[in-house]
Amino acid sequence: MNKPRVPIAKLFVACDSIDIQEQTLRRPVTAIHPMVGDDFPTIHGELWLYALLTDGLGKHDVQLEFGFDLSVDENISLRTTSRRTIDMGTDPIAVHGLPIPVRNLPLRQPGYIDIKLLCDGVEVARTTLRVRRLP
Amino acid sequence: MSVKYGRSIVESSMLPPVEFDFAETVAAGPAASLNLSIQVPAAADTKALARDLGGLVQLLSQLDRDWGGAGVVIDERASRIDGDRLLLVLRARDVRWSRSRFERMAKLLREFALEDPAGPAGVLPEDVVQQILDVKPNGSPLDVASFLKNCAGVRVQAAVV
Repeated sequence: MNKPRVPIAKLFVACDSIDIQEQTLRRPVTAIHPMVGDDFPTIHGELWLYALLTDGLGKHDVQLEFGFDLSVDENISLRTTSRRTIDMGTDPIAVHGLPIPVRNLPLRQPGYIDIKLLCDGVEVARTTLRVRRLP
Repeated sequence: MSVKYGRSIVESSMLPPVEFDFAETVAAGPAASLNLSIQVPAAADTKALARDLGGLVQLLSQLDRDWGGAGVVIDERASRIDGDRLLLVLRARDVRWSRSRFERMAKLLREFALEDPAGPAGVLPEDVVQQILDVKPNGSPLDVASFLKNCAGVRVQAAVV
């Protein structure tokens, strides 16, 4: 039996939504902001992350680590989510898309959010989102 | 003779979505508490000490809010005087992610408070404890380090439970 091994992420991006049937990403985003008429602090209702994983075998635990408010060093807030299990199958060269909906994301202030994808506790991908005020 | 070098077309699939929701009541394990075991020198000015410890709770509460929580409160039922020590149990108003915030606070306290403990310990009078319990949160996170450095002789041990 093949031993599980941590996959490699070839892509890790944020977007508005993902069409699971069509396997397409809708409107990739690099920045998020409060809804019109809203202000900080606020809650961002839904954001999708997409990871393209390969070179993995078997089942793995994935989780996200969020670093909030990166514009102010003293106030970095780290939050690690609970774990979810994914199955990478038995073919190590297979490529698996992993849609990750993130709901009720807290936005305290404008700045940056650093998002890490952890697989069995190991960082496999990282992306940064800008949090900005509407002009 | 043909040689098979490998595959250039690989299987591609979409895994089922894995969802994370920040509104989960308990996202990082069960609700945690920050237990402060406070040992004071026998000759300590108890009124000043009560004020200082109250300030410490204020600052930790402010830290909690700055790190995404809603402040901390003293668990009066779990807090107690134990010989020459005061055990102060703090709980988060917002339990979501409270363990990670408490672990960061404990680390901060360890960095500043466990060095240079001074003198024999005394016993905290009841009225001093009451003064500590009456403190309302209103502090500044940047003052934590300087506050703890000025709190000479008071030994604070922090543990997340």
